[in-house]
Amino acid sequence: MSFNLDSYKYYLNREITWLKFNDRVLNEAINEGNPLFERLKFLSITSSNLDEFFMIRVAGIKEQIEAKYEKKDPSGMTALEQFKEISKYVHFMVKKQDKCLNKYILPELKKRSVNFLNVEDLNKNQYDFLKNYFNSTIYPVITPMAIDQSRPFPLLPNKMLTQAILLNEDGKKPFFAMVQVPPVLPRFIRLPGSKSSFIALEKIIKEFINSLFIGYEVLEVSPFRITRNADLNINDDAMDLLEEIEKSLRQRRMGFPVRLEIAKTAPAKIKQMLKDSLSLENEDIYEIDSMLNLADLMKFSNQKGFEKFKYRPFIPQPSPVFFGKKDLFKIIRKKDVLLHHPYESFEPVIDFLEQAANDPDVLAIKQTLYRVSGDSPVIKNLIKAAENGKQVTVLVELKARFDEERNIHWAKKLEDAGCYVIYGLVGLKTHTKILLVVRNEEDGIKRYVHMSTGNYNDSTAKLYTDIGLFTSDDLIGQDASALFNLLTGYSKETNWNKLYVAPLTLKSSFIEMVEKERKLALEGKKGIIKCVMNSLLDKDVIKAFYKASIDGVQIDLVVRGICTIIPGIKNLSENIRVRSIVGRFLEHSRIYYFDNDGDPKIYLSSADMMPRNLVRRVETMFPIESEALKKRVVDILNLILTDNVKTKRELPNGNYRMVRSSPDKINSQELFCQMAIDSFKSMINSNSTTEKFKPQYKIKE
Amino acid sequence: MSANSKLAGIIYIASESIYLRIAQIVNGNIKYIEKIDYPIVIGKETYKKRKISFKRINKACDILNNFIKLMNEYKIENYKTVATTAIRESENSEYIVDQIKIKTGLDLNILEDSEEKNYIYLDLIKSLDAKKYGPQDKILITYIGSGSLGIALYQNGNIFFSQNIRIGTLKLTETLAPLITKTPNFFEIILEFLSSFRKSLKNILPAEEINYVIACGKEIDITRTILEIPKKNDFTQIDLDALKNLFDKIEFKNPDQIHKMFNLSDYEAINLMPLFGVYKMLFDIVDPKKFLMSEANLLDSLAYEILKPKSFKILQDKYNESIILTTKNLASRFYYDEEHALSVEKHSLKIFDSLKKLHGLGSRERLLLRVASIIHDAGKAINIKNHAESSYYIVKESEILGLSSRELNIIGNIVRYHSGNTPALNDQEFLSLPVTERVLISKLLAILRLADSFDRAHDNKVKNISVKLSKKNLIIYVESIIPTYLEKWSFEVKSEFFEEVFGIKPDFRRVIK
Repeated sequence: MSFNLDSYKYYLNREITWLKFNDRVLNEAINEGNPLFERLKFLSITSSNLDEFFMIRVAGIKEQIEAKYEKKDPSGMTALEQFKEISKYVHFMVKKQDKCLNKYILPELKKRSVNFLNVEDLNKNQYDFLKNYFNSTIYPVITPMAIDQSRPFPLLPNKMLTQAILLNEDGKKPFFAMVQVPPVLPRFIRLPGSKSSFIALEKIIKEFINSLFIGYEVLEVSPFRITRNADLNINDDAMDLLEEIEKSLRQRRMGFPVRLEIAKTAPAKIKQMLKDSLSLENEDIYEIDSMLNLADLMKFSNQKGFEKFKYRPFIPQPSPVFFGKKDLFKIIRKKDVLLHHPYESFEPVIDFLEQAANDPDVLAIKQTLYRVSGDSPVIKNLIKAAENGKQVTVLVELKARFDEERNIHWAKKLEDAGCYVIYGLVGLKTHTKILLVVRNEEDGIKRYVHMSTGNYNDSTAKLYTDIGLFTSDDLIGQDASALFNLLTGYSKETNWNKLYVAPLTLKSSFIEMVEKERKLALEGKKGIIKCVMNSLLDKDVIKAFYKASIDGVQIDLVVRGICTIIPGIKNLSENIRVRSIVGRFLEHSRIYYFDNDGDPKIYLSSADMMPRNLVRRVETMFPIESEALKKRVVDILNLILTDNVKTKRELPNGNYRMVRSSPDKINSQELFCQMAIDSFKSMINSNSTTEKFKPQYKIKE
Repeated sequence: MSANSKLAGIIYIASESIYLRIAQIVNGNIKYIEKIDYPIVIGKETYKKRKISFKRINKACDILNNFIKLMNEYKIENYKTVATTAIRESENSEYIVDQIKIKTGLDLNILEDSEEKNYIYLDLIKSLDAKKYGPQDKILITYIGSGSLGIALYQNGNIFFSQNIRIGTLKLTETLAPLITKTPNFFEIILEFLSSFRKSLKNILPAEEINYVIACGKEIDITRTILEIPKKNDFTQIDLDALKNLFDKIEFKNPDQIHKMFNLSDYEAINLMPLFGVYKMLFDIVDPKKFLMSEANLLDSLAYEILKPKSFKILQDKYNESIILTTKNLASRFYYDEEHALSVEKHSLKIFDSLKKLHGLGSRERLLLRVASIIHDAGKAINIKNHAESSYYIVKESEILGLSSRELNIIGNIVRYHSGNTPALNDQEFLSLPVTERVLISKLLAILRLADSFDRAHDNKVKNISVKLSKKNLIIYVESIIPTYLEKWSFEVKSEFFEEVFGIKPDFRRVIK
């Protein structure tokens, strides 16, 4: 039986599969099994996710429509069809968000005395407090903007919560004004007299808005928010990438509007005015019945206290291999070390950098940085290393979306300290996460390499699941040097020993590996592929999977987000199973397993199977070679595949369902937490047995 | 932290790439820490326009400056920057060296064809030693350069014969270029041109005893490309039949067709026919059982030279031995008086070794003296009356294995002045040499002249000499049972120059032994 693998019916639309992912996150907000504040967080995540989705994806589709781009996506949809589908889905999702907050979460919180109040609910004391708060704190930071013939519609910043106001002046035509809800102030103000009663900032502004417009009558007040195109338009021929990105960041603030969110209760007059002024269509307008900018709930649910409404805190565990050891080089020299974050702490990566920065034998440190944390210890150590006279080369990817400004700041700081900073490559985003330390040892130059599926970001390393590898393997060291030589422009081409590098060799090699499993299956052996990734979109890769499945390769995919492959099509993809995990931690690892007739080849990577990763980004895929570590990764993989609590499986129609629940509930993330705790404990215990027999030489007097 | 003396940097500007190697010694072997082959086509301009544009040189300087950054990361102080054909053959090479110095601070060493060959031979001998051929195996080594063709014979660990012919690949094309458009079969023209060399080589080579031909040099790389043979570590065996088939294929083709046929760069295409012409010529002479391509290369050899692992000294001594062997072989083709040469060599070295304090020279100069001692009378085969002048020509034209043209010139000048006149102030050619060279020549010459006087009669009368140097006196004790009037007379004449150079007059004392 032969299949036309280019047929539209074998591919899902990426935008819809992404929306379905966001829907799975939303389901976690609805899931009563999760603590209430965590549910608020999930809800908040769905909202900030949607913001980015509109700023980048929807904006892009709108541009395609504008440009009359006719080409269909692999699922056969035109840009316009996609837009309509998206709008429909998001309208549905907004209703679901409203329901989630209004019907499920807020009443539950209220039962537990956590209240989101309206002005009408307040007692005198509380009211006076707010009045005072308005006058002393809010008033100084807000500026009303009137709209009339002499004052045109103001340029409203992207994602800014704003109050639209309809005013009346005696004897004149009513006119509009705007007041931004200042993002510098907390969105939810705690009320006196109760530890757990809050009121939203926009409600306070609305209540006292009269004092901003003395002499006018305030007819209507409604909050709204617009989302703009924020996809940076970077000129690839730019001579100075830094300058070019700074320029386009200024432009981002003025990107065309793609979405209007407005309170459902807003009067038609205001709705019409905004729609006209922003030149939006009905499909672009989302009426919110709960609360605008749910993303603000993140900060709210992160506030101290309310621990009973949160997950039991989990502290990333020390790695048993590194714990208590001072010389990390010595350990890595002996064997490869794997860290499984966030179950195992990210600290050793920082410690390693710190040791490298201060070690007199270290000659050079080279690192790629994509997203770093606020007060980054990574940056601090790199600066320290430069001050200590090491050659420090840092590739700071300025094009890391929404982190551009932060990265420009770091790049300049590193440069001032004497590091050799490269601002990414023209036309390519450097997404690979790699750290190279060159050390001059007694028996010659030795290279130490750390590579990971996740960023050098100590904050997200507590929330994202990632796997990192330390190695002193000579060939990988050579490859790491060669990669940095390419990135710095020292070299132009190279032969790789063990690394697979996008956009050069990664995709073709990956497809070859899939092919190899297919050939094994054809020879009557077992073909087995297991992959964990964030997104699966690349058509060539999907085709390779389909072909392998046709010929009998068993393919298990765990794809968190976008996934356009369709499992379970008769004779085509019956051997393909797709799962997705949305849990307490963000699934972020990329693990690629090829059974290779019982002699598994296992790789970790910074890359997802998306064209952007494989063609427009610098990514690496690296092998796990030590038998012990291979076993560990296989264990990790198998546990992920047996999860039946946070896993949903994809149906042939593209929808996701619970996996059939067995009596044993397996929540892989929780189990990984427990395993990390146990293995650290057992290390401590095995050490303390020797402690017990420690002879006492001196008796205290 | 201080500079890293265990590391060496090598930068090589070749025709189509600039190479960087950062090397270290691990367990006595060279290991590369950084290996960059940066593609930039330089040779094409040299070939087409005879000059390299400054635009290209600026780009090369950018690459070089990056290489310097990388070397600085390793705190490297031992490094060498070399270039070969691409720069050497360019008419503006001197300005290029100057621009590179100004823009990068690097001192570019343009290697002569013969120097390049030496480096490669050195590396080749190293890998041949590891290959363990039997003592009977005779191997023809051929270095195919852009400007010259080196032929050498290797047996039992040493090269014992070497011959240089000025028909490199580029040179051949250049010479015959006017004929490319005039003939439908340019390959045939090349073969015709080479036939005279083929005949004379056939006369000097023991062709029937040679089973292996090993080719080396950068210019042969395209062979592997065309035959799609992967690069091996030391030697790549080439299927002789496949290669010979290609000879037929390129008949009646012009360079442009070849360029398309094999998907080669311009430079490669233009060099393919002369290269294959040389192969064909060699196979016509030798008819080898096996044909190997050696991966011996300049970079490895330079790294070896800079880092000097323990094995380097051994290899160097061995190679010096090959230099002596080939010199002797060369001299024998001029029917030299072997015993006399041996005697002069022996006495020269005795004086040299005894007077280190006086001359302050090192082992390389000692080798030059040795070579000069062996070859000094070779000119007699041409002309007895003015034999020193003839010896000078032989040295200069023969291009002795392992010696640079500078060194050949030194040896040439030594043999030129060894018998009659010493260099005089009206000798323009001699005066045009740098002062340090002149002093070096004079020192070695003074020693050789003394040593020559002990065997004035070419009868090996003097068995041994010993040298005693005190503050005021230099006495040479000459052991001989036969009277040495002639030798003493000759010594008196020749020691004048010695005194001029070293400021001390040697005394001749016969010891009857």
